[in-house]
Amino acid sequence: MKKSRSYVLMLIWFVVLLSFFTACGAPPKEENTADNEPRGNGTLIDEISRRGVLKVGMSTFVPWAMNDKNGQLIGFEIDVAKRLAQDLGVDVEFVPTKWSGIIPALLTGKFDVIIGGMGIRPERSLKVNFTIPYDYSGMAIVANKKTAPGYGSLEEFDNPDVTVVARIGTTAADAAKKYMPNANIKLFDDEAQALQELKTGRAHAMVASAPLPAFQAIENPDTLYLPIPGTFTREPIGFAIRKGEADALNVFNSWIRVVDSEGWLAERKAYWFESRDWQSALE
Amino acid sequence: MACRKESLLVRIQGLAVSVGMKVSATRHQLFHAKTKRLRITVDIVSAVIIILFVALFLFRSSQVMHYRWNWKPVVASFFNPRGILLKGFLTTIRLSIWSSIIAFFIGTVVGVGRLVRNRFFRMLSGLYVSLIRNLPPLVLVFIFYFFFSSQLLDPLGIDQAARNASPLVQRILALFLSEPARLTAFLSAVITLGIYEGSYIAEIIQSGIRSVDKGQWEAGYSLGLSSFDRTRLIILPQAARNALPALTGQFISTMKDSSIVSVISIAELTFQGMELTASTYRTLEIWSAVTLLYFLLTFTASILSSRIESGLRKRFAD
Repeated sequence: MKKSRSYVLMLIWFVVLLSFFTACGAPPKEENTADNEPRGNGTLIDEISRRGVLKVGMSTFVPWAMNDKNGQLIGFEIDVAKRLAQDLGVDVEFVPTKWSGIIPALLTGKFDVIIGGMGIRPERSLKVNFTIPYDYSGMAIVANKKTAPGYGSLEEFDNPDVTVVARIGTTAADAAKKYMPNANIKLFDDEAQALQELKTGRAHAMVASAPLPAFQAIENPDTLYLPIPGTFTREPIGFAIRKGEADALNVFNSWIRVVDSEGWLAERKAYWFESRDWQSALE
Repeated sequence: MACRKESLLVRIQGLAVSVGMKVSATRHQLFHAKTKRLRITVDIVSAVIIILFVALFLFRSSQVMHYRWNWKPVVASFFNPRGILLKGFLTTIRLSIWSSIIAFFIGTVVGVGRLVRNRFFRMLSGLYVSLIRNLPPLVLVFIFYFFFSSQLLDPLGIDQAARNASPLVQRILALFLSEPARLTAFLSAVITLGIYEGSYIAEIIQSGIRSVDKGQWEAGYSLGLSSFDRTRLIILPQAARNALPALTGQFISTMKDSSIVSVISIAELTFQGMELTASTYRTLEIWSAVTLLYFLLTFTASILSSRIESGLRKRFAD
């Protein structure tokens, strides 16, 4: 009798505690204003200027964003974000985030914008707003010389005996499933793990955004090769921001139009994607 | 041939005789000498086995997997004051120390709370321990980062305050906590780890208190001390001494557990390892280095803790 009463008491305390915690956060008014701060729609740019800092969410991915040997971030995306912040008259602050959690982190207000080579996809645009594309990327495939020798087309990989690896949650994973529906697709948390699987011969091929496959084929000439030259998809890349920030969306879109017309984007892209002059900064 | 066999036999007999004499002479001393010699042999054999395994691994990885070892990225990012692996290593140390301090406070309060007469405190502490210990730490980290941290820590404007602080304050923050820009994330990681480890420390403290003889309570009572003073002055010091081995073990465990906050992008050792792998694709080298660094941390901590324990034991021996 006494024991059951203590359990009831415990349950009551649990409910009280729970209601205390849920009471701390005001209930979200709309579905998409899940972020905490009482910022209304269209105030993101004001907030960035007031703070003096643009917080950019990104994920490491060669050559979009990577750590050089001095612990500094370098890459195409980093150049874009730095120039954007400079043109807005604020400092830039990078928040390296795991790719699988990058959209939840944006929605909960951990940073202002994702500039992370994010492909514009209909299902993603239901959760976030995309700017106009500032870059186009495509998928390429790299294969293992031992396990998949002499393949020359995607059809040859579309076979249940073939294992194709890619990074989880990326458009590369979608492309692999779309173009090789019969192949055995294995997904990893980042490219390095997928690449390791390919190099050790447990997989036949890897799908990733260009130019990674080409770079890896150059770096590992004994084990890897490119079965098909160039890319087999073309996808637009945009900044992602929380929904309903029409003002910020307009500012970013205008900025992209300006730097695109200047030729600055193309020039930066050529530096990071066609040359490997930056390689010495890494090692 | 026969002659050699004979001489060998004689030598063995002679050895046996001399051993027998020694045994009768100083049995104790010989035993120690023997175990010491045995220990050295075991050490040498195990070292040889380990070296053979490493050599085999390196050989196999270069021959079969066609792996070309390249330690340059690891060296460049650790032996460099601004290298990311070194930063991660230091962050892991800061993270473990701060969360252990928080965990120790929570653990002491809750551990005592589970033994007090007041039912409210007892049940609150029991609820805390059973709730936290029965949740996967990863889930706890996510809940805290995406929910509590956004609701409770972000509105405090810690990031903004740190950003506007003077350079000196910023440098102090960077030295003891984290770089100002990521302060909120760091704090939420520290608090999460502190809450998680605190539930284990509460159990350790509780069992430590239980291990103190009942007579000590009675002695305190007869001296006229209040219940709070009795706990503080008589029981807790003894309980802490009994619980010390388990507490230091928990500290080492905190160091290892701190790797889970890599999922919320805290730049600690595991996260930096992943970042470096993503930048350089030197998977094997980087994870070998990270393994070694964690081992260095935990091994140093365990040596230190055994030193402290033996020091305390000597002090309290008489």
